[in-house]
Amino acid sequence: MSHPLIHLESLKKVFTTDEIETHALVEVHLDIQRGEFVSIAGPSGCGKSTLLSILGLLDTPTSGTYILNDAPAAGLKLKDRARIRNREIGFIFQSFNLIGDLTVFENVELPLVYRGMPAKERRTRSMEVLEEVGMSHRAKHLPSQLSGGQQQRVAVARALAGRPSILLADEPTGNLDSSNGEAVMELLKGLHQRGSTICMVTHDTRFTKAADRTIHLFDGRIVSEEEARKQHVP
Amino acid sequence: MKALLHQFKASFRGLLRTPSFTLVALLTLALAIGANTAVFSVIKVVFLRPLPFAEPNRLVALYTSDLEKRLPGIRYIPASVPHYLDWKARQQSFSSMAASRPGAVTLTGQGDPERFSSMEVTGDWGSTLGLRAPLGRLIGPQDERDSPVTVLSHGFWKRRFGGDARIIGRSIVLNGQSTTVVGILPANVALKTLRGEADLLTPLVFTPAEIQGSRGIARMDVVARLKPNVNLAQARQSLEGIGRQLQADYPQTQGLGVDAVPLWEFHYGEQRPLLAMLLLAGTLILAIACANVANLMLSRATIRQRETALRRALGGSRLQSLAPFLADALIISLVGACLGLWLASLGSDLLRPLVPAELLSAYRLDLGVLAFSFAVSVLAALICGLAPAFLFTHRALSSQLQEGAKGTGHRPWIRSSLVSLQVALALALSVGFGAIWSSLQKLQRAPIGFSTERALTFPLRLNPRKHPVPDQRERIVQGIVEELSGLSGVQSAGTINLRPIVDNVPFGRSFSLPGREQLSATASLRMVSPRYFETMNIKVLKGRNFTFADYGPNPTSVVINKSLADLFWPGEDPIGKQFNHNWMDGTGGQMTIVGVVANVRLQGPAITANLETIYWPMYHFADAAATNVIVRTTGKPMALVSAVREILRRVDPDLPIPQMRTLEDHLESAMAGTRTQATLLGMMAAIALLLSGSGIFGVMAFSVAQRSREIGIRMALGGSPQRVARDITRQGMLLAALGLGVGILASVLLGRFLASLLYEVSPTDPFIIAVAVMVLGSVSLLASLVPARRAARLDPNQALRNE
Ligand SMILES: Nc1ncnc2c1ncn2[C@@H]1O[C@H](COP(=O)(O)OP(=O)(O)OP(=O)(O)O)[C@@H](O)[C@H]1O
Ligand SMILES: [Mg+2]
Repeated sequence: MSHPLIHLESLKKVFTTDEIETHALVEVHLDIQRGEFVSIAGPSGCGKSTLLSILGLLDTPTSGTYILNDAPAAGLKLKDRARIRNREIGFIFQSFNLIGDLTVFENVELPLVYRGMPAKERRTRSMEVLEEVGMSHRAKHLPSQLSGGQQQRVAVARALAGRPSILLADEPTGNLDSSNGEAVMELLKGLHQRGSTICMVTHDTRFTKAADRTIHLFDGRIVSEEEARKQHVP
Repeated sequence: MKALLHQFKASFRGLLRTPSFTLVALLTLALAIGANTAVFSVIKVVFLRPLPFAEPNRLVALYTSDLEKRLPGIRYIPASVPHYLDWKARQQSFSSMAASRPGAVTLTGQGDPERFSSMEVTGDWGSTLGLRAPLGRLIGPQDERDSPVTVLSHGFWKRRFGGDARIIGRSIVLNGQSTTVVGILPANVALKTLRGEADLLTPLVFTPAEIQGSRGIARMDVVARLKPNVNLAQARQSLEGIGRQLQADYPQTQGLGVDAVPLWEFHYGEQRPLLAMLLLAGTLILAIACANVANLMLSRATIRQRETALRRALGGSRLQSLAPFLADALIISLVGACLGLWLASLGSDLLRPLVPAELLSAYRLDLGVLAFSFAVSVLAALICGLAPAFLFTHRALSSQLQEGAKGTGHRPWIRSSLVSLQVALALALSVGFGAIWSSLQKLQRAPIGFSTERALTFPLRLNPRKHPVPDQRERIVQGIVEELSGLSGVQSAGTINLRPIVDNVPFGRSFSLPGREQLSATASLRMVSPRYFETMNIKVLKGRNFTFADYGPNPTSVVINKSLADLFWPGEDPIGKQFNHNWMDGTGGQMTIVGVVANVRLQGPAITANLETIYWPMYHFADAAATNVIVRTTGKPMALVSAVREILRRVDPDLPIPQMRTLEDHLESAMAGTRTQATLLGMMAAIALLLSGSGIFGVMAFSVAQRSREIGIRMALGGSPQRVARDITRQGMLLAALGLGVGILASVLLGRFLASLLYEVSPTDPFIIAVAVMVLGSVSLLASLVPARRAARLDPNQALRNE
């Protein structure tokens, strides 16, 4: 059996502000296999975003082990963390987080720019992923000229452009109406079917069904895990 | 109206709530307004004050024009007596014409003898200028014949006689002669002469010898009043004709014409390029400051744009939504103007050396200056307040309100181009400063042809009434020189009628060679004692130095300088050559050249040309009964002062005790003007550098703060901190580079203003430009590195959380 893509052991995260300690994550154990679609659910403030930030190497755990792709994340230099974020991880945010000064195309190619990819290759790759999310006809637009659903599709394309090992999505449908939300979910489902590993935070029970597995967090602990009763697509 | 007041109150509160913004904006404008106010106060007193004469616009100064450009560095050659009389007799353009010349008087009978500079004026001087004496009368035509009279300058009257009105009609002893004080000059009239400001007027009476005398360079200033129906151009044209006639009538005056300039130009024209440069520098600083504050306002506007857009969405007009920015700008610029006025009052002392002495009393921060300052600040407020307006008219409301367009949503080209503009202007200023500064350096190192260290110097003026015979005076001076030479601590002593650099007075005569009359020259004329060249360390290049045998009632040997030798005897040995001279009471004579000495900068270090010079073996200039002593010492020159005084007192107790200074001191004063210019421009360049540095810093820091979320996104996408910092630095440097490029062009264009102020430095010297580019580049780099570092230290998780 192959190693899991993500392996968390006794992960803890404590925030200290104004002498008050917030235990955002307490003793989290979690494995995510390659090709899995994991959804994380739980009440507000239970630590979902915190977990995702740590998975995405945007934040460091207070203690515990995080092994990504067989490599321990502890003790990495800022520069190496940036490189891993660039190559292994794709982020999708609730509020899209496109860069307003850059066009759709420039937004999508940005991770590739950071990778030092030649312009020509960037161009084909970016147009490919934009095609994939159905946004290639808007490549020259600025984000402010797009609807929310369109912006999130561009954000998905940007997350995909670098062909990351895992997509991390924090409430990707949270700012969208139901039809736009469904469209984005369809996109993620399709990606999963084609082999992408996805870890998604969502409140919406409609969308948790799309996942292979749903993890319930409560007060920083994993309280239950449920396997979706549905068929795996090989 | 009420709404307006309300807006100002709100703005005021808002500004107090953002003290760092307010402080930076205030200081920026205060510096700019201060610099401009200070410069304007000088310009106002020099340029905007009418001369204190009746209808000053119709007054002109006449001067001998140097048609063949033989005397570079001397703008207006004073007139000789015969020339003046001929001009006056032949002209038809002027309703009246008068002459004046510098003189000196010794006042005795009131304690120690005192020496004062005087101005001798012809009888029609006062009426030509349209002057009236507030007390008594001025010198009139009758005074050219009658018993001696004098008119005191207002300052001298106050200073020396306590402003006592009873002085009118009383007698004082001037040059050993009882002289009646007939009047006092108005307080605002200064007696400007080549030798500085004079204290009193005496009648100018021409001797028959003068009337028949030389037509070369002399010492008379000529002033004339244009006839009502004649303009300056017409007058100049007719003067040109008179000049041609005179050259035809007197071939030895070949190359000397006559021309006229407005009297104001004659007195203050030289200040013009300097003040123009300062005005320009001030304007540039103001532009930089406005760009800076406009940028700050824009940053504020961007932060508040959603709020502003909301107001407009709720029905406010564009003007209403702009009112806060205009109010902010107005408050900042008016308070800035007050601070600026205060800075200007501090700075006005620095500018004092630029104001001609006689205008100093009128030099202050008065109502006109206040009005100027106010106007500048309102202008600044408009520019700063309108910049946000410009931005807003270009943006659709909806895009400002739209949720998705976080951060800026527009490409911030306005702010960027303002920063580039600042850098460009600062570069132009820095290049200007660099040029002036390096010109100063060159001046200080320029060879002047003699050495200044350990040399004491002072003027010596004998009383011609007490010692009427020139030969007798010659012996007195010789005695003094010999006694000085014998003094312990003295290496050598000599005399010269006009010291190089110190006595910046043109004095010369035209002469020609036997058989080569078509080649006449105007040479500077200097009377020197035997050991003058040794004392000054002037090299004898050919032939010999003067010996005692050369001195006597009718000297026939002369020493010339290298320039003259090169002009008349190129490739030949001039020693033993003879030529005619036509000076000295119009009598001619044959002179034999016995030596050639190295060139000396007679007119000051800034004047490169080495004027042709003839040295004449005489201890003193007989016409003026005066000379100047130079003492080369072995130790500190000033240590000898009392011993020198002792000798002078022993020789003639009536001799006024002159002021003694070192040659180094004199040279220092000669440089002072250039040094002041360099200091001023340096300060302005420093202000510009500071402002443009803070401009770049402001824009970059703001953009980092404003885009912290974007930076977080970039980091989440894999941008390393170094990479992010590098991108931001590069952005800043790109703006700077653009500015530097434009700045180089600007400095080439502005270089023209500078050229006339520079000595052997091109205003577009590539080295100076390179240094300025490097300095500004470094400042820009520093100004963008700090925000870039801040960006690199950003915690991406934190940045993404913050809405
Ligand atoms: N930087 C921080 N400093 C202090 N406390 C923090 C910080 N980040 C998160 N927390 C705290 O940690 C806890 C978990 O926060 P987190 O953002 O992970 O919740 P969440 O599950 O994503 O909630 P939501 O569903 O509302 O987004 C909260 O109590 C929050 O207040
Ligand atoms: Mg969350």
